[in-house]
Amino acid sequence: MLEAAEGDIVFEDGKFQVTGTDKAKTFGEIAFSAYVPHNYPLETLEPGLEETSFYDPANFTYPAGAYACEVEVDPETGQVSVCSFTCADDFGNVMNPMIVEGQVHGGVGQGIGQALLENTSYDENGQLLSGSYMDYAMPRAEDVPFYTVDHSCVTACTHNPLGVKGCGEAGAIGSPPAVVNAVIDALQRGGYKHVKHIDMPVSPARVWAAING
Amino acid sequence: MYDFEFVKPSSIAEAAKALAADGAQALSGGQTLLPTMKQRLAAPGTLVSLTGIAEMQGVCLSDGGLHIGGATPHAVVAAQAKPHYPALAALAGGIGDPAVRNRGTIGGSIANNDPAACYPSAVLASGATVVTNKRKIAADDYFQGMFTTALEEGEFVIEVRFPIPQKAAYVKFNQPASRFALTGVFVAKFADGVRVAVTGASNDGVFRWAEAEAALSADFRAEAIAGLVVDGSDMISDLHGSGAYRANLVKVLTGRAVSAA
Ligand SMILES: Cc1cc2nc3c(=O)[nH]c(=O)nc-3n(C[C@H](O)[C@H](O)[C@H](O)COP(=O)(O)OP(=O)(O)OC[C@H]3O[C@@H](n4cnc5c(N)ncnc54)[C@H](O)[C@@H]3O)c2cc1C
Repeated sequence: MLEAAEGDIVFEDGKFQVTGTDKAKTFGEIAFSAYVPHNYPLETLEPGLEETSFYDPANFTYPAGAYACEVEVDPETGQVSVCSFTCADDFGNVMNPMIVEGQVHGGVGQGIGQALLENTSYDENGQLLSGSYMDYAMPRAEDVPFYTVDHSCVTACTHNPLGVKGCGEAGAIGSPPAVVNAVIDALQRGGYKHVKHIDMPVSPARVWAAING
Repeated sequence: MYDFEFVKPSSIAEAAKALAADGAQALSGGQTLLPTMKQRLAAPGTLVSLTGIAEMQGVCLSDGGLHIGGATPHAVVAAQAKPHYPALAALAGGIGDPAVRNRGTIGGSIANNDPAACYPSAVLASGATVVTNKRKIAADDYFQGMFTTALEEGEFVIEVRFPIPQKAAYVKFNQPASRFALTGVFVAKFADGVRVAVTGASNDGVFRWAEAEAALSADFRAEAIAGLVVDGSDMISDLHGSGAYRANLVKVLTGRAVSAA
């Protein structure tokens, strides 16, 4: 394209330039011809422009957080409703707060589903009992409250250049224990002192059975 | 889905004729039948749509009762029955989601008689009359167990006639996934007594709770049933709740329905 030896070409300001001349091609032009290779030396050069590099950080990142959940339990039916949910996470430096909040919202919704609804259940013959959404309960908008999400505590990660930490799974990790502990706490305060544990999903039938167990 | 023929008659007589043919089956809202056909669990030769028959549509007051055409969608009942029979309208408005309510119909629901369906409880508690192309069937004779009704081959529901109670309420406890009734109770108070119908709980489908009817006919307050015991040993037991849990719901929901009526 530039009709020059490799050693005579320098890359500067987004352009490939033949030293000492005004002959140059932009990065865009080079990329275009790599994918539209009509004047390529096809015997010696494969079309396309690809590069992979692997970043191996010095250590993992360690985000930390605290999750608080408030529930109401109807002792007559065992129905649990999640009234409020607050998440405080230290994800280090946050590049895009909106994406990070959305990630936490999604994770908490998933966690509430796991804690209260979702159940892959088999009978004694190995037949899946919750094989469709008529029996497999997914969380829906009305099953979850509006969330309060806080990222005001920022402890930059020390072993990557951006000072960031992982945030993808935080919501889904913190929320199930927060929900289940809130249910147990509500039952204890309501006088059902014998209820110390309920397996997930904490369905109405299981809550009622625990109360009356 | 297997291949099938489709006809859409515009009169009851034409529909009756079409349904008398071998392999013909009624199609109303399709909310139950079409998924079954898609799963290849049903393979009718001819679907006879009942939604193009004018007499089978709509809600009207007549002889002091509320008459609902067999092919009237739940959403129409929710809107049009409201001034006359609010508990029935509320029940219809709580079935499924908007798509289901705009397609699914009362005739389809009570013909199918799903043990967890809502309408059968209203029909039974109201002491309604099911009008078919052949006869009139009292609610007490119509429901004959899970997915079973008094309808004969080729017979279809053209109208349901509801007496209007003095007070009534339906309280439904949602199955967490499908939002059908895990258990639902319809209580209706008439001048000559109270009727209580329970759906979602029994292996025999919708049923009347006689002890509660007696107690509430004497004293229409939630406290009146406090001393009653419901036996859950024969009730539906599945991953959403045991028979004992459903028995508990029967009593709790009946009390709530009385308070809400
Ligand atoms: C996602 C979902 C949620 C739902 N939730 C609920 C709920 O909460 N509560 C509830 O009660 N129901 C619920 N349903 C069921 C719904 O109410 C259906 O509409 C109803 O069960 C069937 O009515 P259809 O008009 O769709 O009947 P179709 O599917 O057309 O027919 C059902 C059966 O009845 C027969 N049939 C239809 N019309 C007549 C007639 N006039 N005379 C004789 N036989 C007839 C058909 O041949 C077929 O066997 C739900 C359905 C879905 C898909």
